[in-house]
Amino acid sequence: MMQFSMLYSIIPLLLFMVIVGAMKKTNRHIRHVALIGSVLPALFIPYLAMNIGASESYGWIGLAALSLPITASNTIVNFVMFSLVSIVAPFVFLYSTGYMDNQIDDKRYYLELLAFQAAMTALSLSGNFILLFIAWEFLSVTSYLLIGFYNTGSAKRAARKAITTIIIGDIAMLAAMALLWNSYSTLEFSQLAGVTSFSAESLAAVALLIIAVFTKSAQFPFTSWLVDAMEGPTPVSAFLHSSTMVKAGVFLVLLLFPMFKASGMLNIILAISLITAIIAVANGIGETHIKKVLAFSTIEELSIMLVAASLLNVYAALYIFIVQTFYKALLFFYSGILYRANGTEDITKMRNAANMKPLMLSGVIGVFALTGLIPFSTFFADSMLDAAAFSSGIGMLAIIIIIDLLLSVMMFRWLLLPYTKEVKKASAAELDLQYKLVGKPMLYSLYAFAFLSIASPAILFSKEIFGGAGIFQFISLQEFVLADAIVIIGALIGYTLMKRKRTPYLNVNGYIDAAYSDVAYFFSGASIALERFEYLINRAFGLSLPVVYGTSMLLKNVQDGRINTYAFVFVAGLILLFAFFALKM
Amino acid sequence: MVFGFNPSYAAVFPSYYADAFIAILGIIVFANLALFLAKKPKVQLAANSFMFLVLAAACFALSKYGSAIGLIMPSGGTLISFSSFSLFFGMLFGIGMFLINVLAFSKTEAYQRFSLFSSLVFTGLYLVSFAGSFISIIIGMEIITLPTVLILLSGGYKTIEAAVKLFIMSAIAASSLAFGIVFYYGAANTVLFTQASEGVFLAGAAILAIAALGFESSIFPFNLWVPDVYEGARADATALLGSINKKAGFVALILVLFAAFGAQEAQMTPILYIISILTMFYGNILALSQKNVKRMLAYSSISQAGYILIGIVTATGYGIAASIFQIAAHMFMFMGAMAIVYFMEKNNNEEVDNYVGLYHSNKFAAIVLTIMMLGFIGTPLTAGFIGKFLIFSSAVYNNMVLLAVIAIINTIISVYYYLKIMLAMFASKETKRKYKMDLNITAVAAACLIIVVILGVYPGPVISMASAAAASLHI
Repeated sequence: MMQFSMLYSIIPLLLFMVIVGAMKKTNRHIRHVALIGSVLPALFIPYLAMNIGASESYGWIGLAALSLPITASNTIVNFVMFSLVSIVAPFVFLYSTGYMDNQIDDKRYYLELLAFQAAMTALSLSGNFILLFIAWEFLSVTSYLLIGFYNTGSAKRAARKAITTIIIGDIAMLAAMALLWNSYSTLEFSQLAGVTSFSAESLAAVALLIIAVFTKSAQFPFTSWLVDAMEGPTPVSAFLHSSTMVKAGVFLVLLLFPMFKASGMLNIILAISLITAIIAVANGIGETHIKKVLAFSTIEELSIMLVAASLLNVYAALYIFIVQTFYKALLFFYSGILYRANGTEDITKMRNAANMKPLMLSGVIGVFALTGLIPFSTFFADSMLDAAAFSSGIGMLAIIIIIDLLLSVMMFRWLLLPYTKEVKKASAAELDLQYKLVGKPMLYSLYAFAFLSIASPAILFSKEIFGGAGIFQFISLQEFVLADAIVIIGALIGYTLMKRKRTPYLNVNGYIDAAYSDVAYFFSGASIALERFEYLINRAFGLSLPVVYGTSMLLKNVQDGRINTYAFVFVAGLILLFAFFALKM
Repeated sequence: MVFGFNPSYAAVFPSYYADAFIAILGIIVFANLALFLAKKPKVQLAANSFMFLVLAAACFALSKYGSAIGLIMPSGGTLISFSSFSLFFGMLFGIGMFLINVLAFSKTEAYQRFSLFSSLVFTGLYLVSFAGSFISIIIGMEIITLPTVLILLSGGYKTIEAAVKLFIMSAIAASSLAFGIVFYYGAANTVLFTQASEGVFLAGAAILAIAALGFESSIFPFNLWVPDVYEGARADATALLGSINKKAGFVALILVLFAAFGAQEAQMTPILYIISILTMFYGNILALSQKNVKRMLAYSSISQAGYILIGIVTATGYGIAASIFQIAAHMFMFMGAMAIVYFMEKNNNEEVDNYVGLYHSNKFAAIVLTIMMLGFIGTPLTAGFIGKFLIFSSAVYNNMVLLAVIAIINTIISVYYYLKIMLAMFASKETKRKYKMDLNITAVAAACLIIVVILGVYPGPVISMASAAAASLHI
């Protein structure tokens, strides 16, 4: 009897991949079958909840000193990640059944999505670098496929950009694994977390890990792939941004937090995350693409998670990690519906539904949750974060307040713009009809997440995760005033900005892209210079080839097919062996 | 870093176990003979498959999955001994012979002969794997080689030359081994495996045994017959030679080195070191200029023998386990490649030029052969990668960095000729006849493909079995 294993949670997904793979392309039930498959891992949540702290190892390569097992573990961070993925995934699939209109592509889409979920589930359970790296690589590949799903020129470019950026992180992580193995002879998170002494080698490993984290979680200077990744289908964006891939980097930091802390590199993370957050909000204010604004806000949130972790407030980081999932998925679901009804992704050209109060309300809830109005999710995060920032200096607090302010400007402008578009009466009626035609499954997912966004702060009551002091330890009177003031001022600025035709903003992202092409240009120049050198190497290889090949032809003659020769060589070899032994004895 | 097995593992069992073992092998041969006389090829295949697989399963069950059983001798001493090592290879050869039988199957008398002789080969394989003395080694090697000669002979006019060459060379090797046993008796006063003390007699025995078993395991300079015979034989017989007979040579070599010649380690290590380098270079350099695919694969299998020797040279549990893993991996890679070559040969395509555009005439064949080639090179996600990784790292761990570097240089050279075939297969050629692959060849190719990929992706269980096998021989 084999032991029940938590890694079995991937098996339903793989099984349903096979089933979907076996179905005909034209079968209209592919989406329903895939939906069933995506629900199944959620059934493991109770099992995992009962076994927090468990870990299991499978020998992968194990020989003497070299033992590389695959370890699955179930720490709090693993459990949180697993639950978030398993809860969000079915709703993304449900939303997709309404959103994806071209049924011919169903098979490819759902196969890729199931593969993505499987990779993410494996990642969420990883207890050492072997499993993490395998899942990490699969994430890279499947996200590449999903971002480039629509096969248009820009989608292909975006996918290529994503994979080239992420591969930098993959290689960095591989190198980090090699260095860590050299230093500590282990790749287990449980052991690496306890590391206290660092050599130059292991510090380099931590630095490489930070690069890997920054590529996956889109921190400076690897931000721009995430914005371009909006070329993918909206449900994919919702999945990618809320619970899955971009959080993999933060997830790694949380898993190995003691090691990052002991290495003293948290300050680097802090500095770069703050820079990234400022870049993100500065860019987002002027953006008019409905999803790209959300992408910038995601980058800002990831930065804030890393900032919170770097300020040693892991609770805050973990809390944002959890609640961000729900309101971010909600906002993406909302923007997808707006896009479907209006047929454009430009927020200056779209108009909100006049006849669907719940839809509008959902958007408002999402923005409130994101910006942190009093009882909503981010409020508690802000209050934790501001306290941590204040303790490390008033300057830090000021920076974070500015970021918060800019964020609420950006989000309220984003929310309010679709209300201002003046349309003729006839086309308004038509638009209302379009809103009526929006698929029911999309609305169900939206409402479910609106509810979850409101309810998610209740997670603070969890004793296992937050120590059980309850929600009130995170509230203070100053914060009451401060957070709400920020949101309200932000909303007012956003409202004024919305009325202006063009919003002045800082296109830092554009500058980063330009810098990248400069770097690429430099390398192509260097490559031309190195071509001479390469030519020499080629010559050397070219000269060695005839030598090797000539030897081959020469030896070919020895092998003349005559058995006498073979017998002679056999005996000659025997005699040589005797001679050698005689010499050695 | 010493040759020699740990006597504390040694235990005894009643000698009728050995008798029962021989009886089982006898039953296999006589069942085959009866079915051969009854002219029932299908039943013969079924019976062989059943018996081979049952024995493989029995070995697997007995090996207790991962714990080392040392060399166990019967009370009083006979030909047979049991250890994790024997059980691992008993399992491996059971599976290998089953696949070979499926590959060679046809409803003709030729297959009937093949099947009968292969059951004899199987008997020899088990005698060698479970050897407790030199007598069973020499009898086993002869029972392996001579039926193989008969299999080659029954291939018709074209393969007679190969058969005669194999026969003459095996006669020389057998006489060399017999002479070695005489020396061993002089040193140890017995033909059973035991740790004899160092001396001239033991050294002579070691040299003669290395030469004789080097003939079968195709290590330089006792391997000149290999390309001719591999090329001359029909591809199913080549598969037998390369993935079964050669491995039996290695099994016997490892057994005698560790169970009998431990005392001569000081002399043997440098010799094996040099031999492994020469074997790698010989195989790889000569493979470069070959045009016939079977001949090229013959040279490639010689170079693989060189890689396998590296693990033996290190003489540690790690190295031996790596070698054992690579033996298993190469068995399936070679068989998979040969299955495709057999398919091509049936359609009169033997040269590299004939493989141009294979992908467009038969996708499955091209994909299988490509993955086998990638396995030979040692690409990740194939069994070849794990094998080479373990072998090279064992060399590095034992301060034989030079050997690892040379092996890597050889791997780089080898990429050239493997790539030549791969590129040829995927080159575009518009009009090409579509060939249909026989069911049995498809089955073997698919089985090898699956095994090679599984061993490459999740090698853990096999590695732990291999290290148990190595531990049972070694300290």
